Amino acid sequence: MGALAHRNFLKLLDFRGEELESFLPRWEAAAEKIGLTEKDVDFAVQEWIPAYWDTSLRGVRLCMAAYIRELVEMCSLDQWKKAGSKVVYGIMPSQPVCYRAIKFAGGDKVKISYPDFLMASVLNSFFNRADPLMEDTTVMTPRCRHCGLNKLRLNARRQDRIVSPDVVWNWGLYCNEGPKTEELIQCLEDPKWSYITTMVPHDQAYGSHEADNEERVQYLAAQLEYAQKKIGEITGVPVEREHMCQAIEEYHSYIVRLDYLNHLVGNADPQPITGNEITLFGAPTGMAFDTGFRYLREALETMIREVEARIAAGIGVLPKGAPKLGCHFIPFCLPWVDKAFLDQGVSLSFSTCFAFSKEQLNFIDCKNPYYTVAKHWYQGANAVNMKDEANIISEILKEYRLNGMLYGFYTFDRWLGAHQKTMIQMVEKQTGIQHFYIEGDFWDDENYRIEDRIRQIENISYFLHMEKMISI
Amino acid sequence: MARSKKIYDKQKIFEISSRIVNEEGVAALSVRHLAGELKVSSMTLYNYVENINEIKKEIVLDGMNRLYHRVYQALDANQETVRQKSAAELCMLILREIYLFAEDYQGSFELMFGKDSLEFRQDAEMRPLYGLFWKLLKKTCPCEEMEDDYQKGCVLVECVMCSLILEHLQNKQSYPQAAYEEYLGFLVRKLFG
Amino acid sequence: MEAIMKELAKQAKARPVLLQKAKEEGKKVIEYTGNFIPEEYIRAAGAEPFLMCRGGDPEAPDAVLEYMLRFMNPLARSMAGYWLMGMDVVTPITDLIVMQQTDNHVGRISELLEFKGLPVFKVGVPPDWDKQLAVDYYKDQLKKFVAKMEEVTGNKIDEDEVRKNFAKTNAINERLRKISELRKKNNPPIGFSEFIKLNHYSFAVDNDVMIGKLDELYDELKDAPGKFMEDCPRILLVGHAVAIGDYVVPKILEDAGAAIVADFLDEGIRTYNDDVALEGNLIDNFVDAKYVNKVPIDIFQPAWEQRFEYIKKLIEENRIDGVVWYQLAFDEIYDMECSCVAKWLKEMDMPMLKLESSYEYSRESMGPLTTRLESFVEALKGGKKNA
Repeated sequence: MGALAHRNFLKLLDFRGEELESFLPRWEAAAEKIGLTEKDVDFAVQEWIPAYWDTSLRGVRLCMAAYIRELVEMCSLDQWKKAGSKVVYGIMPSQPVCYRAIKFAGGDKVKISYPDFLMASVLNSFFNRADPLMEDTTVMTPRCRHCGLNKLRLNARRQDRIVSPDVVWNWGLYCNEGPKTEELIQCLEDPKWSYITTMVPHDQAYGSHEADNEERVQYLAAQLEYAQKKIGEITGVPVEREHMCQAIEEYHSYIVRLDYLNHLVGNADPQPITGNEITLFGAPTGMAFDTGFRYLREALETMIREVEARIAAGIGVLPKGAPKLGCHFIPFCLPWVDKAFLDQGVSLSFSTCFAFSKEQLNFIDCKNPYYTVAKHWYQGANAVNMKDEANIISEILKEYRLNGMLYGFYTFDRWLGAHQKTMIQMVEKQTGIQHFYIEGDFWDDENYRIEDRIRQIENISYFLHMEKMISI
Repeated sequence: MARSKKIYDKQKIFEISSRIVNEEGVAALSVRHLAGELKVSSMTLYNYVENINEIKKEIVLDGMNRLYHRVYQALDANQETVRQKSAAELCMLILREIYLFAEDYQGSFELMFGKDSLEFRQDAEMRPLYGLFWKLLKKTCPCEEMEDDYQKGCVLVECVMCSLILEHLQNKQSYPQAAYEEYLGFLVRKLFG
Repeated sequence: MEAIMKELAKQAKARPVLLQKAKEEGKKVIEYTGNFIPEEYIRAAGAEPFLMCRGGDPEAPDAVLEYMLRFMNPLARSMAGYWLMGMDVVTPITDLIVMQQTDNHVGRISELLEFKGLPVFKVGVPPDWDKQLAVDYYKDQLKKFVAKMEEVTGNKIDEDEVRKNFAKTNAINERLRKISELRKKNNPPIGFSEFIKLNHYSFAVDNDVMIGKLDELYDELKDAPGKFMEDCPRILLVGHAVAIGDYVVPKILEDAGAAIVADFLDEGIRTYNDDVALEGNLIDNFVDAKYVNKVPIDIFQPAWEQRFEYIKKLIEENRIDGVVWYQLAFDEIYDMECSCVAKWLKEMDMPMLKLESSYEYSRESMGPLTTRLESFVEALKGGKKNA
């Protein structure tokens, strides 16, 4: 079964011929490194992936393949290190432009990776096997509700599934725990675990539009430039302005097309692809791929064509008229959530995390790239004060035809999740769109199994159906 | 007596709790009673649930589920009424289903709409599930100017509905279905024409 | 000592009444949340400061659950919780709440207060303290704070007034240091239960009165007999905060026969080892004393190795037998640091007890809590006997 399971998996993702033969041993080695057995891979091919992902869509297959290619690169970092390359880790949330600029500057002399986000996405979404890396009862105690990503990073290091990088660039611009995890790894596991942080306190006045605060944007820009310089000293590869500009253009061209896909899917009736699938394309805007956007872009364009064709043919994941829910971040690492809603006749449509405001889509000024990145950061909803966030989201929601919004799944996050119960009331008041909330953990469903949540999912679905019935 | 038997399914706790509440009343629900039914110690129970409020919340969620299912089926079976978008008719349809639900699940109804329901109405997960009347009848409002009146009307209907049903369930005043519908029908016609 | 403590307690308790009176006389009342806010400027602006650091009751944190996630530490939640419950007599009359933005728990609670329409002013405290960028940022934040004080009170702040205020708080610090030194005695004449209350009273009682009382207390204690059993276990208490009102745990420990002879807390206590220089630019001096040159708080980065070096110093200087790590529930960063500290203490063969508090001190919880603490103390006693 062994080699066959891996081969079947790659074939599922459209690897063929010479490419398949050359990639297969690399994938097998990577799978072993991250703890996937042949049985796990076979389970994914036979059961898990067919249950949650429509692999009849080439765009979906290509996107999954892009993730797998990136994962294989991540798993070969030890070899790259031996060959003399430097390794820089990024940690979500951060702006991938800054890391891609490092790649443009150094090529393969520097390898970048977001190991925890990548592993969580791949292991959970495609294999349902992240739990061995998220289980930890001793260091990050369960009662304290730590972030699954941070637990995964710590455990991945402990279990030697990821190499020690030359440096981690951690942005503590949302939560506190992200950067402190680097200190934890350094203190407990690996004194050579070196890191640089970029942090700005959340101290802005309630309701102020932070992107318009010149001082604030300048400060973040200065922090980013400072960190980039330090990293350049470590890698021996200085990042110049033109590298940042290249990265900005690359990123911008992806998000413009992603935004188009978001609108297609969010507004079409019936909805042509699932929430999990649209999120697959959105998540890479939160992490930098060492392999770049090349494979992702091909997948995205293919997906757009397929979605356009489905819309033209009236094909959807649910019948026409089915209610639609937007989300903060469709929990694609727990793909059963989307499926549970689909089973109730409701589709999850898009994530505000990967829906861009008009401001953000117009951000490609390269005169001062760090300033541009900083401004783009504060134009997003997640980094700013609660009222600013509510205003930004309300603007975004105007562009989508939704029956409701679903929040929650961020119980572990003292920044992104702490205030949602209040923030959604504000957005509801401003938009008139009914907001729902389900407590849960986006990365780790140990405490939030489907059996514990199905009643809420059913309740929300009933409610939306009844509303729809009366609206017709 | 066997002690500390393992409970493999948390849902079993909620099922039995719901049975206790609906057969014996809300006051009968306690960790001790539940532990006795499950043949485990109280401490074992705390390995699965944080406290009694967590259990009550699940009962309310389950109650909402059953109620919504009924209302949905009733709407589905009365497509003509739905199409006409008559607020009064829709209101009565929903009220009828709530009454029938309350008869079958007295304990759940008390938790959902009784004196201790404020805690659930304030809970972020439960809050959107309340206010069903206004959320549905909003779609039948003939014009924006009348929305305010409709909203107030819905609040009044819900209050009276809760009051009548609770008095009936608690044997303070009998309101058989016909009487209940008569009183509420009167109110609904006044409010929504 | 009892008489002095009683007098101070009475005066501290009367503070809200004084604030109400001051308000009626036209003065401004300014609440603030911690040591990164120089309350000396509040006084110099002619306003009355009040430290918002109350805890120890489980109802207050629960009061915010309608609005906020439950996985936030109870001290932060209490900041809004008491007010939501109608049990906060100061916030309703406050003209401004100055909140130091050190972590996300406080950050989001600040927003809740703003959402509810309370006047909040945030002072950002960058955690990356070893960068000049961050130091400059914090200084700038303090300048904005000073400007805000002038705006709210309508008074121009006189630097000399500020200097005088810093001189007084330095004087209070000096006296607290002296009293703290007495805990190094084999049988200390004062325990942590009183010492932390002295700190809390010093935030509420008039500075001149406080200085006088501390002098009185020191004179009484310096030659007083010890209040503990001879050769009792000596404990170092480390953690986030022992808030005003959260006295259960220290009391149980000391009733069990241990002496908490040293402490290392990030909030709810004066930074009595860090005086502010009085010459030169006071904001710069304040930043030097409380931010740059101070042992970093847990949330700062880098911090933990330096903090552990300080813990080792306290252990040595105070002849510590055991460490109690006092963590608030859902304080994720402290939880992580504890893992490191536990490892390092184990390497030193130093016993450690980790306690998590959600301010739940009901009858049902007290039993297991008391047992845990008493067992730890007994184990330390046993260790001393065998040594």
